[in-house]
Amino acid sequence: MLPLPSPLISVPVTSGLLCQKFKLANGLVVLVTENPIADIIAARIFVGAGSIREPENQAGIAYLTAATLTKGTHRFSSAEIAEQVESVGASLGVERASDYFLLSLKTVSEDFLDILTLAAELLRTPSFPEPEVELEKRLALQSIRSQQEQTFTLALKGLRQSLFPLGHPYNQTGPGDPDQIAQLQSTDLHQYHQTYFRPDNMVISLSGNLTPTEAVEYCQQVFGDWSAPEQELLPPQALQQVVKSPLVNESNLSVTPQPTQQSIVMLGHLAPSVQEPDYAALKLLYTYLCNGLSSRLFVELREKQGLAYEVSGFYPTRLGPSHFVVYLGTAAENTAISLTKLQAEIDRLRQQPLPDEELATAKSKLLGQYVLGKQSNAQLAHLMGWYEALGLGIHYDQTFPKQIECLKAETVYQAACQHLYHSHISLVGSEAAMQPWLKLS
Amino acid sequence: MWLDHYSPKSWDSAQTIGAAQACPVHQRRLENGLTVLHQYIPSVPVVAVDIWVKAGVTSEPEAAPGLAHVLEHMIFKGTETVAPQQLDRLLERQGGIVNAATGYDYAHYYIVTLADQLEVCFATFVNLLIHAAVPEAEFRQELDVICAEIDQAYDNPDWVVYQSARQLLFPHHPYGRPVIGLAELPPLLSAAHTRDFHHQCYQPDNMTIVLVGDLPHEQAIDLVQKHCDWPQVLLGREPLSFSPLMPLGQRSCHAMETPGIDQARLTMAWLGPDVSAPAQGYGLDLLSVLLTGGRTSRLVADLLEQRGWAHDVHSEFFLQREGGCFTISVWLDPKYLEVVETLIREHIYQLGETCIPEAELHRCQQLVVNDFTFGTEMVNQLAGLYGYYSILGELEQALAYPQLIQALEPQHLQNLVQLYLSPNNYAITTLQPCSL
Repeated sequence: MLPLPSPLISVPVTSGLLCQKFKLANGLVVLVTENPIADIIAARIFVGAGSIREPENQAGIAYLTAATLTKGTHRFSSAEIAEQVESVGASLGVERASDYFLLSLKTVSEDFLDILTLAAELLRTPSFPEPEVELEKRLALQSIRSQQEQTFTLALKGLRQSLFPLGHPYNQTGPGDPDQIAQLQSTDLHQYHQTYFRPDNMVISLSGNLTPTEAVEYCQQVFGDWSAPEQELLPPQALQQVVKSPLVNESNLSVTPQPTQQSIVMLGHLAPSVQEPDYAALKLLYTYLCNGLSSRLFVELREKQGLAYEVSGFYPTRLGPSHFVVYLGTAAENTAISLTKLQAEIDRLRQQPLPDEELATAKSKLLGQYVLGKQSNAQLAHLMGWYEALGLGIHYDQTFPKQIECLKAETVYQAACQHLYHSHISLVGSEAAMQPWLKLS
Repeated sequence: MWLDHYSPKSWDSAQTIGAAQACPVHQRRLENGLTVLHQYIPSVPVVAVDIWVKAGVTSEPEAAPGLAHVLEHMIFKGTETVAPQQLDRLLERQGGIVNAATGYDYAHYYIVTLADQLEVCFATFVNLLIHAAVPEAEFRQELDVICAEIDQAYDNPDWVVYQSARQLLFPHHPYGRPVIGLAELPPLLSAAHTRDFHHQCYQPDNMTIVLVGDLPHEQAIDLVQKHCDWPQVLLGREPLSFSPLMPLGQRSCHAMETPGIDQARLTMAWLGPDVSAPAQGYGLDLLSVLLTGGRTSRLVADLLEQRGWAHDVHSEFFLQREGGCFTISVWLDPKYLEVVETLIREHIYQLGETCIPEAELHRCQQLVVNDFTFGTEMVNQLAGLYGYYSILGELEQALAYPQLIQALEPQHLQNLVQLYLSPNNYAITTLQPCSL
């Protein structure tokens, strides 16, 4: 047995727990957070293969790869794979996100090596059986059709299509492009898999009842003999910058009539990627404006004006240009007033800097949530693996809170001025409620 | 009653669960009747407090459907000494959370906070629950928010189908109406009604306070005794009584149509056991996993993977004090509605006719037990679990959940199917797309 390599870096993540980073000879990164409190182990395996790596004209291949990865290997059928996982009561799931591909698993400690071994087989030698690919294609197309059933999804779809150019991976809401998905074959999935599923493009993050020595040994055992191909890994091609259109024009307004009681009013703005300097400032603004019952939008629009039950927003952390979104659901007759009020809240951020006390409150809230977001093994494994997979490194767990602490009111104000202007608008509601805007769009 | 007034009761570590393997759950009933549950878990610097009140839909006056949920909103609107939003600001300022939910048999309110900030948050939190003022102006304003919540629910086709199936299954019982009330709130509902309801139901002997996390036992009890005081304790309330629930004697169907959807839905529902038979309820949990838990489950394998007739299928058992609700829901192409219903009936019939193979039972047991373990890793999950079972009067059974699941045998399950899941008599709602 090989001696345990020493960790490349160690970072304290939460009370008394340490995350250690190792790298195997084939380039595979292994992160371990030993946490003996409960007899379970959570793993998050990130592959640099999300929507941002989809080849042109194959929008949806990452989704379909995720849907069929557990449906067969060279040795096991779909049913045998499910049987192995479910007979020990483990959970194993595969998904694709915009910036990465993710296999998640959770087991009681004694079953961990068996299930990790299976996961390695799925990641290394999936067979993408033709009938399973066809079944999952049908389900993906169905899922795209049924997006119209959710008003929020419809509103987001309209917004993203106006924010991001056609063909940009962040333009997608749902599995992908239906026409392109319909064309995908098993051979396409094999091609995509061979290109991106390689040990030097993967991060395994483990948290739970195992020692770093065990973790590295297990990974060595199931992934150690997998060598990276000679050809160099291509960078994500699809992450081009998105240009803000300079003028307010009709393409910034999306109106979707839908027979519903409520209207959804959504405003969105292109916003910094995680690698840009204004990222922390926008996270703070998001917290101030959208996060929780004491947030500005909740207090002003729900508590004081009773315009909505649900009023919130999001600013996802992205490798490429992200979006800063606020929205609410309101009675049809309140659509216009809600739009005005929501817009006024965005504009207000550009009128003057946040008062020191509000800035301090927002910082303290964001930092407190950050600590509370590191309770379960799954949360720990996910956070550390995600930072590593995004190229930020596990020390970002220390950097991010420091960046937040250091933010000055003026910096936050400048960031709002620079990014939160020229709102894109997406509206969903009944034909009658949408009438004033249908004329415009 | 198994509660002990004088000495804290606790279970040995073998019976405790999830993240809390080394820490016993203490239970105590205070002199005023308040039940306190506590578990010390020092591994994360966080405390969850979850307060459960027997004040759900089943406690509402008949003329005021939706009142329990209205009160849940109004609790956050302040007292004589606590301003509206004061708790939200206090908690969220340090990253904590606060929320609430209303159910059929209960309403519950919870906070999660960093341990060193607990006392001030706790004091404010219990003050809101005990001394709710329900101010008039706030009441008017909040009704708009609640109407928006109701509109949002009626826009959700899954919710509509589920509610309709419940209505068929519980035609003469509060379990048959939506928690948030009917499409319109009662027009005369007032702040005064809401205050009366609060005074009636938010009494110590009707409540359980659960504290879990980085908080030693003595401190937990001190905290409760210091901050939980009722101005006047109301005794001798009569709980509302309803006619006993009866299983359906035939297939009871509601077929609906709506524009704006693409796929059809079908929900079938059966009356399950009440809380006096928890092992039976756990058996139905297991049966729901056997039917739709994972790719190897019977309905997923048959309807999704083999025939491709369904887009998704889900089954669950919802435990309720007077009689639970077992459902099977399918999302599918409208043309398969009839054949899928028939196929589900055949699966149910088979379960009543033949014993489940040992290997299949074992797999389901592992899934249910691990799901329970995975779902009880965080302090707020544990607090919710203890509170829920405590308010239903079955905490001991909840702690023994994994053992009770492991003890189930094929014959038990076959008997349960014969007893509760008739292949002929059930409620069924279907929803199909139509044009405008």
